[in-house]
Amino acid sequence: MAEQSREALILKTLGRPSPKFFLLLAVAGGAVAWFAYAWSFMLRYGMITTGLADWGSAGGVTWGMFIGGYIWWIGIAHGGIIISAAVRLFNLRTFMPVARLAELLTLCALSMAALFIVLHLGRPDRMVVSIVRAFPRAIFSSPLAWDVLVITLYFTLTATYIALTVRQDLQAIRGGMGNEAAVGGGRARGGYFSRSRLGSSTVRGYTGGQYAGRGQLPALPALVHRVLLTGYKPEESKKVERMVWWLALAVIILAPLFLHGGVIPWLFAILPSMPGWYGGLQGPTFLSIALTSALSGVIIIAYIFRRVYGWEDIIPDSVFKGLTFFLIIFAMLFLWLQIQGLVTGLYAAPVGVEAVTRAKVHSFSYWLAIGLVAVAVAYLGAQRLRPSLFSPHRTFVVAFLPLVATLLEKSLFVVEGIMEPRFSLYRAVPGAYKPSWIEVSAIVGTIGLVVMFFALVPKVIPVVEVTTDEDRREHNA
Amino acid sequence: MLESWLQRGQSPVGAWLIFGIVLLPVYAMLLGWFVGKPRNLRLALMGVGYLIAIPTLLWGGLALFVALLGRLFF
Amino acid sequence: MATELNSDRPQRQRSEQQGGEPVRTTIRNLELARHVARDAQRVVAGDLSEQEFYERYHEAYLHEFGVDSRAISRQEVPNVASGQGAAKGAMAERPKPMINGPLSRRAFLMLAGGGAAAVALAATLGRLVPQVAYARTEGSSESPRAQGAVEGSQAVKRIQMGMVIDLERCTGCLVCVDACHRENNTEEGVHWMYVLAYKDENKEGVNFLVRPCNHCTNPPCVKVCPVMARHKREKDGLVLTDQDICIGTRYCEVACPYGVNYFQWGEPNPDTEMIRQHGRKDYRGRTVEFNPPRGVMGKCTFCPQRQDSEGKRGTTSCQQACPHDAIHFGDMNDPNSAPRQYLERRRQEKGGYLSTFRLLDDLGTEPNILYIGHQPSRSAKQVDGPITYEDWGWVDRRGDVLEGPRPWFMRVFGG
Repeated sequence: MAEQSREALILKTLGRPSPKFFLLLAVAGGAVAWFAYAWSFMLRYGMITTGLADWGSAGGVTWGMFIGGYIWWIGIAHGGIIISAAVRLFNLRTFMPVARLAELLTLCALSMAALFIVLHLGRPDRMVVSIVRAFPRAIFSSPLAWDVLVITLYFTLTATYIALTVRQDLQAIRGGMGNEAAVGGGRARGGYFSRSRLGSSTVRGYTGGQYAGRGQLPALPALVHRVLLTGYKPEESKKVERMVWWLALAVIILAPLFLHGGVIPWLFAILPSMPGWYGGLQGPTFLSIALTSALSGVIIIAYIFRRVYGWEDIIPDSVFKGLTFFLIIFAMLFLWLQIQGLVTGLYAAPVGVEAVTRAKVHSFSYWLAIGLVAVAVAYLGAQRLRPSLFSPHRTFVVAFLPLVATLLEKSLFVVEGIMEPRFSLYRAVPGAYKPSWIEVSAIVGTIGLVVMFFALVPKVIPVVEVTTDEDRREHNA
Repeated sequence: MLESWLQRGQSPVGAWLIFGIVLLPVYAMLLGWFVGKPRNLRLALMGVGYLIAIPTLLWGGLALFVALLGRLFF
Repeated sequence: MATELNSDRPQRQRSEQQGGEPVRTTIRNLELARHVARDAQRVVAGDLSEQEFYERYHEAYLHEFGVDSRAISRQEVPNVASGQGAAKGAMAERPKPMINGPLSRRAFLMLAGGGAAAVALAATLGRLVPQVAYARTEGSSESPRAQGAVEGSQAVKRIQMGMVIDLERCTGCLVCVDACHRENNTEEGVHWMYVLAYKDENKEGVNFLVRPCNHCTNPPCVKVCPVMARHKREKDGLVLTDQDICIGTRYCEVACPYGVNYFQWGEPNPDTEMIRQHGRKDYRGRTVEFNPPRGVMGKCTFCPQRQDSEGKRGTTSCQQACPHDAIHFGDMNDPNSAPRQYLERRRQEKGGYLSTFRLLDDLGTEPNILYIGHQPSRSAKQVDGPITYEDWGWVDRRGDVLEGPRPWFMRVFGG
């Protein structure tokens, strides 16, 4: 395919939306509206409307699907950093086309996780004031304060990362549309942009294509572009590239080791009150399932974009094969860590640990979650061994299994942990819990929000690095 | 210091855990931005600007949102 | 108003004459305990006057101990019996358990034995020492825990309020639970003070575990709170929730190994707002007392409203109400405090061998409730006590009644 049409393909997302686009927005918006209704109902009457109650004499479960959903979204948010790190730090250029999609997924999944925290609170209205006031002291002792810090940091670093990398692309587009000199300098760039010379003609192709006769983007995207390009100078790209490299390095350590392998599992792992939670195994277990779900998320998003925009050449099969490979590794790690937990929890475990492990073994949802991951591993593994089995479409379908499994497994982890506390003398232990319509609506609503995000953001910024294709061609040559 | 933490029933573990270990990569990044080559103070400061502006916007927006919730529901 | 609920309760009088009398202190007969508890309830409900209550047991007391030195007609009575004036407002509607018909002669004597044992102990052992010394600034700590906490400092010994709860004297009458409800105006099914009746291997009959908050020296709930609403008050070591700061993460509830926290899932009862509007703050100006508002965590507070007042300092509602004098409240770091003195006396009574324990001590929380009696084993099972929560007209399992309004579509489809 000609270079010109590649660039035009990427910039197609900024074009005029089709009726289907509005239909999608309407469906997702409907889910969000329903969620808003459910939440307002809960805010109006209190959390009594949820399936939650106190553990102990009251026979309830204190943390439920809200926390499960929170862990789930944080896990999905890991997609961005794995892909970016693979590209930038380990030079796995195969994943370049989906890097920004993954980073965007990180941003919105993190926002959804934060939303679940707000949802979970009894007094969300006080949240900001109370947290900010106590923060300088609470950071020393409260794992939730650590969470707030690290999630804010992860969000900030990812947003900075996107802002810095998108600058280059936007300048290229703008240059093409208005000032050719800004792009046509043929300057050398590192990383994504190394050796790339984005011909202004390609962007003109875009200009003349989608917005022929106007020569301008709609007002809002244009405004966003201007804000993102504040203070742009042509000579900055090399330094920005180095800064982005450092960013990637910081995030690749921070996010997996200290977020999903750190402060999130520590929320639970530090509490001997709940034997199902306590212990150092939680860190690796959380991380393995997080990475599994994150890769699933990226596969799903990438496949949808490829399908919708006809990006078979921009996101080739090799991307899915590569993502699948890592998905298998992390999913197998997860299964292996489950075995560790089951063996130590059943063989000669202390009473509390044994009780919760037994409860787990007798839970249908647990085996459903494990089964879903196992089936995904088996199928994707077979696909690798026999390439004839491979198709991006099938990979896309199978990628849903670990996502469902994560939500199940993590919600179950939270709920069953509280059902089987160390102090089990209460008759009302184990407590009972059934997710209410509000909690289910929250899961559906946040998925709707993510769909809206991925419908709207490509209308504003290019979701694949504009210069990537040339890089790949040079790389292959 | 330690004594006062313990008397209040708190734990000082975050002091070294968060500031000593978890934030190390961020320190390294900032160091890389400012002393790494090519040197460009303007861009490094711009990066720091992002690091300040984004959480400010995030928490500012959240503050407005929860204030709205407070007015409507509490 | 709950704030005033207990203002008319007299302080338990101390009788200092009967120091060394040997008294049977344990009520083993559950049938007996049942009667005692029921009568205590009748007094609380106003069906039986305090005078009647004590006169009824006078004969039995003589029978049991050969002497009645209580001089009941002249002396103030234990305040379990002084609740009539309090049964106003929201609490007045609370259904009361059914009372059985006239007692047989034998049952009466048994009842008398149990009741007398309790009353006699209150009178005999009494409160021989000042209850709490707040202004203490010197002296060395006798508690190795307290020493650990202030390691290296010889300066101020910290005050840590706590309880010695004598499980051998508990009859499971739930009068303390009732007193807590009245004092703190808590919701249906919320038992800041909770008594677990349980059966256990190698133990006859029903045993009891009285479970207020442990007000731990190393409280996990305080450590995990991200907004520092849950905190340890410096003055007396009370573990409290600042109701104006709490954002309802419920992390404290999850971190606490004892299950003492009760969240306010819905709208609190109407009195709560009234109390809040009266601006009930503790001496530091923080809102830590009584039933919390919606979305905020509540738990046993050791009644800071009492600790901050002149008259009731050094008491809690449950401790004052206990008809069997099983709960002893005071500074656990002070060897002269009521609980420590009680402990010492009981140790001497038992010839130096007293079985005590702290609940889940191995979790390192350093709980400040010290139990006299035997720790429930892992195979212990909670059972109905002689008096159940339902007998009192309460809800035991709160989760069953936590049901909010249903949305329109559920009402339509009956889902």
